[in-house]
Amino acid sequence: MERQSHMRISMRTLTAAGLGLVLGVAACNDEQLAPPPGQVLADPMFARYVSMGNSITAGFQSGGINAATQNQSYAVLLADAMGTTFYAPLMNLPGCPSLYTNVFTQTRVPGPPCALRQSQAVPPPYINNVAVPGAVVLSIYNNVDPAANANALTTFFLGGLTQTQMMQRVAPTFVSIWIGNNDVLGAATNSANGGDSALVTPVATFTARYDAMLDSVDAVSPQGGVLVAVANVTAIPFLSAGATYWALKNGLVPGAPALPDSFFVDNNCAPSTVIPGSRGDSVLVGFPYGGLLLGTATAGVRATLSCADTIPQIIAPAEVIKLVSAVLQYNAHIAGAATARGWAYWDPNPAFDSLKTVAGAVAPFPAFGAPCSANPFGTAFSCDGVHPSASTHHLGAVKLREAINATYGTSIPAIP
Amino acid sequence: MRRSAWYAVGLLLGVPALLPGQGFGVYEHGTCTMGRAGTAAASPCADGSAIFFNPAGLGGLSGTRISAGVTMIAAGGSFTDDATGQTWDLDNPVIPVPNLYITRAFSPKFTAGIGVFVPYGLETRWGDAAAYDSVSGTFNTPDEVFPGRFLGWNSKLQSIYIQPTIGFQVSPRLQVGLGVAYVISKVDLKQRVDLSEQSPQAGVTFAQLGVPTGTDFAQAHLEADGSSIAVNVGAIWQVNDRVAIGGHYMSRSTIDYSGTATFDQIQTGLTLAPSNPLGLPGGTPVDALVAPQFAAGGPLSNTDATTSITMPDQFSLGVAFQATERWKVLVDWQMVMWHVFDKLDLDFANAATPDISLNEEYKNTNGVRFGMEFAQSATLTFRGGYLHHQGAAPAQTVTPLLPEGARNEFTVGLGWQMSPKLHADFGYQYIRQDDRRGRVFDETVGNTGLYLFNGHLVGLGLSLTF
Repeated sequence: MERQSHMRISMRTLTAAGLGLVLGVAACNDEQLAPPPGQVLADPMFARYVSMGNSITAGFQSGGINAATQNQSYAVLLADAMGTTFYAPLMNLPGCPSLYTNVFTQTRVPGPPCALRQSQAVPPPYINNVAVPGAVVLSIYNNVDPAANANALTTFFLGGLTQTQMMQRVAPTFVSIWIGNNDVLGAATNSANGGDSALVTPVATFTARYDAMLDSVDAVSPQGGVLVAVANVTAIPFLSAGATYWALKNGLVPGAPALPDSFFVDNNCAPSTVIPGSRGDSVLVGFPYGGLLLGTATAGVRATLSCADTIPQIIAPAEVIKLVSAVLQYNAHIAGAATARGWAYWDPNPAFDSLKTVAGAVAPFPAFGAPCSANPFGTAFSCDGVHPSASTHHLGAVKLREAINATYGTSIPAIP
Repeated sequence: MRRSAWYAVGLLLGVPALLPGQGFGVYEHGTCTMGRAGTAAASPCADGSAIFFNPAGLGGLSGTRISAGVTMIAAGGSFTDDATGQTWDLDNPVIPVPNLYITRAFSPKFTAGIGVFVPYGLETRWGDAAAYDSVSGTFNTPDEVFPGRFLGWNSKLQSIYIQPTIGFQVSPRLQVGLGVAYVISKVDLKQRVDLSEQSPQAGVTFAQLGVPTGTDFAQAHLEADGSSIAVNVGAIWQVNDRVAIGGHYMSRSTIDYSGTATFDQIQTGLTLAPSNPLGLPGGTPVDALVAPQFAAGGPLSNTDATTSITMPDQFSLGVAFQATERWKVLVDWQMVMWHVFDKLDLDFANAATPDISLNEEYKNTNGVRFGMEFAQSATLTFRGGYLHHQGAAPAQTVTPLLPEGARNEFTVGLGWQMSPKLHADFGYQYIRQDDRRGRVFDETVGNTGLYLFNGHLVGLGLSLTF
């Protein structure tokens, strides 16, 4: 009996000791995931966001692009606010090409013609910002066609894929598409033949390509999206009204520096309200041509700006109308496509127009000769007179956030 | 071809599997022992598995016995990426691990036998979908393409030990045993090769030219085999009627493998745009660009390959306590000398294919096992146990090939004397590994996510005595 009792104690002791040991060593020592700090997804719809587009979406500024400007893109700002992981094809400094330091002297940040893609610490599994500078609507799904404007960045960003193919690899839950600017921009910025209508994608071609592009997006069934209208390319500070040259030459702008004595402006560049029959308020002059004339005059050689139709470098009134008309027709189609899908739609033109009322934001006349650090085209545009500056990207992100939240009832937080 | 491309090939050969023991070890070599968490050093089961667990256990084993068993291993696991939160699941098949023991007592004090078991091996299998599906002409989605496939998506290792063994009862209190194993080992490993990591010219990778990360362009397949010898010795001291102390040591075994490395081209779906930085015409398919790599003499042409892996030595020490007539309690401590798996050298016969030397830097591991048996009746025995062991892989080598770590394991078992000659054992083991950070890229990238692992093992054994 005593032996049995002793045995029971032993068993009890043994069991307790065993359990103690088990509990002691059984404690788990789990390691944890390490998500990006502070990243909280605003809505499951934004789990994988892909932005498609051209140079604006890619983050091209001041005639160049690099990791710094890429990270200022509205798409990056929007993705940050969405709380979603977003990979951009970041380029090494100084860029590909590097940014202008003075666009008037064509001086850039020193470096090779094109730096390579960054080797990122963690290789991105895919690219979310698939936009490529120079892209037209066709380029979204076809890189090889000569009309697709392929360039070195097409390969640097997509490595042999099209934007739709890279999008397929991401299987996005949400897309933004801002494409079509380059289907009309080339005509506006053509210094040899301003407003060359041959460089405008015909509306029927545009709409067919746009639909084909959207078909490829629909095929991956994103939960939502936003389409962005084509920007009015006649409103960029790359272009100045002929009337502005006329007013400056005639000393009608208080505080403005005088133009060279050898520089002349024909009266056909005056506003029609001042000199009936003139057309200066409906003629646009690209800064390269204007700068060329001013440079010639500065050297003491007579140079005259005429706003006559016979001057190929200017954009004549009829050509301006064609450009604006194309943009309006493009945008009508884009708005319809967004409505048909129940997607958000944002027309950037009212917001961009509003910037003209902000002092110093959009220069009506470039500060010729000024370095880029002096914002020669205004603070809203970078130093090529075409591409938005960082502050305008921020404005775009703010407006897109509003459009998306309004359409989907989401709560993307404010963009700081 | 850049050296890093072979890094993964080397890893495949060296770190082959996700297993229920430390490192790439397996410890389930008898269903009876499995049911009591592998505790056997001081008191091996009477099914001949002492040939592995402690050869001294053969001493005094009567009659002639034939035991056969199998452990079915169903492993589950996943990898979750830090940045995207995407999770990919392990896709392992249920893997059978067999064992066979035959023993015969030539005298009351002397028993000999032979055992066949697999102390190192098994398999890991992840998804093998490539970025581009050449059949449909579309690109697979992120949840379909496991990012670690470039380190290895299917890895198999079998190291079969065939071990003749003798056990001798020196005295009523002391038994000793010795076995010499002939080791046959085979590796069969598959991985993808990522075009973005290759170099079209010195100092520049395709990734720097824009080729997307995770562009499958080759399937690497290594098959190699080799053999070696290992020694297994043990002793058991019966301290008194209730307490026994035992231990065994199995020597390391260096296996020289020789085999072949084959490479099959995989379509990338990439087409170069005009004005590309490679200076090639627009419309050039990337597949045509890389095809010469696979031609005879190219760095991705099939070639002979050799390497050497040392299966580590292991040591265990245990105590068995017969608490009552019905209850037996066992505790084992085990140490595996994984430090021998420190570096892996891989040599390719093809001069165009750079040889590889990889750092593995495994650490020795300790494991503690607790087991108990309860004899319900003369024909029915219940078993249970728990074990904990450390992980062998250091933080920098937790990869898809072996996302290994410290584990807690729980076991139950049942022994049934079906007839005077026939005995059956059933065992179940649950493995719960600590969640462990690991990597799916090159070591220089570091750990970018979390590996989870668990396993369910079911064992069945039959012993025939005559």
